[in-house]
Amino acid sequence: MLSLFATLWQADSAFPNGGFAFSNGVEGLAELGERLDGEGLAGVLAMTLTHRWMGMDRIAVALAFAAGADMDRLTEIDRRLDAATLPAPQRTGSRRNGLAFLTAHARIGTPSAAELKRQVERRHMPGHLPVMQGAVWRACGLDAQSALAASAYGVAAGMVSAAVRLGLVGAVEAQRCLGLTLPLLARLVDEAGRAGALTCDDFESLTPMLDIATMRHASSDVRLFSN
Amino acid sequence: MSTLDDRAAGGAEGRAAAARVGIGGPVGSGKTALIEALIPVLHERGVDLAVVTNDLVTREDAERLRRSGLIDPQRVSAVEAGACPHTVIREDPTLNIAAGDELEVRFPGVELILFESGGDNLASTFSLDLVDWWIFVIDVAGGDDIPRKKGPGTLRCDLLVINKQDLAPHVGVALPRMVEEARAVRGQRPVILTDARRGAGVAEVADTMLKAVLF
Ligand SMILES: Nc1nc2c(ncn2[C@@H]2O[C@H](COP(=O)(O)OP(=O)(O)OP(=O)(O)O)[C@@H](O)[C@H]2O)c(=O)[nH]1
Ligand SMILES: [Mg+2]
Repeated sequence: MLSLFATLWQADSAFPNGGFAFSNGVEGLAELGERLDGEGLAGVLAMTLTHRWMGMDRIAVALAFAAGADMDRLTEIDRRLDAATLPAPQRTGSRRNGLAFLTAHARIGTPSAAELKRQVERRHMPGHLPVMQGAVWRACGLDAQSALAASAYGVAAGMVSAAVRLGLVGAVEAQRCLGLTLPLLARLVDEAGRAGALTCDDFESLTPMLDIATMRHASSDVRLFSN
Repeated sequence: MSTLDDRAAGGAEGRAAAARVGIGGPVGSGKTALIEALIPVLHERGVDLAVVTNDLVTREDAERLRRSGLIDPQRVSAVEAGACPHTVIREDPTLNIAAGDELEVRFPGVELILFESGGDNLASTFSLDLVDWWIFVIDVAGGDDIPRKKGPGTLRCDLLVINKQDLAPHVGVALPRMVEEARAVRGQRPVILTDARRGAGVAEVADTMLKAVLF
């Protein structure tokens, strides 16, 4: 039961981790004229989860969770994820988000968070969010599967929340869309469990539209989100 | 766990962390102008200083301060927080806290970090996770009824600055009454009148702030 509560605690959008400042491509897609009503948004979520989260975040979270407090191993995973993340705004966003997440946990006193933060501040590690989540969530008492679930849910919920603040969908419609995505989330986390151990060589993502939208967004003058 | 310990753990080890002061207030009330006026006064007082700006959708305020020639541009950090000026100083101040910690790592001697909030409304307040003490800046041209509206920003801040006092005759505001009402709704806590463009009242703001957080 404690693991469930730890998961609810960490998946709560009220937990301060800087995530509200990032749309992770949603604002860029909207600028490109992508149709992002409930249905369109559900499509974007499915694409992001299947073709990015599954090959990137999920592997990073799982590897970092397994690494626990092994700083050398975490550094390696973090650097490899950095190298595998193509769009610069995505890299920067994930690092800022990761450092903000560590900042909250360091203040709270979660074991190893202060040490990780020191490593990131001294630029020994990039500090990507999924890597920091894997390491810190283990220390918070989440089990490995719940850590994957919290990560996937966080990605989906964050994008949905961005769409609401951009005025693309209503707040209620957005939650319907998120609700409809839950079976996919469950399937992906199950699949991840069955696939077993992966390595940093397995990092891959194939979301060209999202990547282009994210990169173009970086040069737009007026924007509500950092990426 | 004590906040100071964690801050020291987050910043450079083995020394006290910098004092952190928030400067909030409605759009255009003169927050950046006040910072521009404060910097030389604080330098004169020997304070080792850095600034974090929270621009909403651009980096305009950070760029303005960096180009001002008043302060080493490296000592100005821009936190881009999207269109959420409330969130980034209250519900989720972690991006700002991280920016402050990062300045402490880069400038180990820094004693004071000013955080300028993005322009907001009268309900905006700073989280005490982020700052030790905060100023709310309103301006005369916004109307002399602002203190009477009792917004949480005007009521709860440690120091209320009423800026653009020079504009009072032009907008039909009776300054003494506005100040008196502001003091009354604030239970006699500090209120200072300023003209950030010409520097009036700015030394008093600096002294009040330094007395509260440094000395
Ligand atoms: N007359 C007069 N104008 C002032 C004073 N202080 C600021 N201004 C002017 O008011 C305008 C807004 O000032 P800023 O310092 O940019 O205000 P701000 O609160 O930082 O604005 P945002 O960051 O956009 O919310 C500028 O044109 C300033 O020159 C003052 O004391 N008197
Ligand atoms: Mg400003």
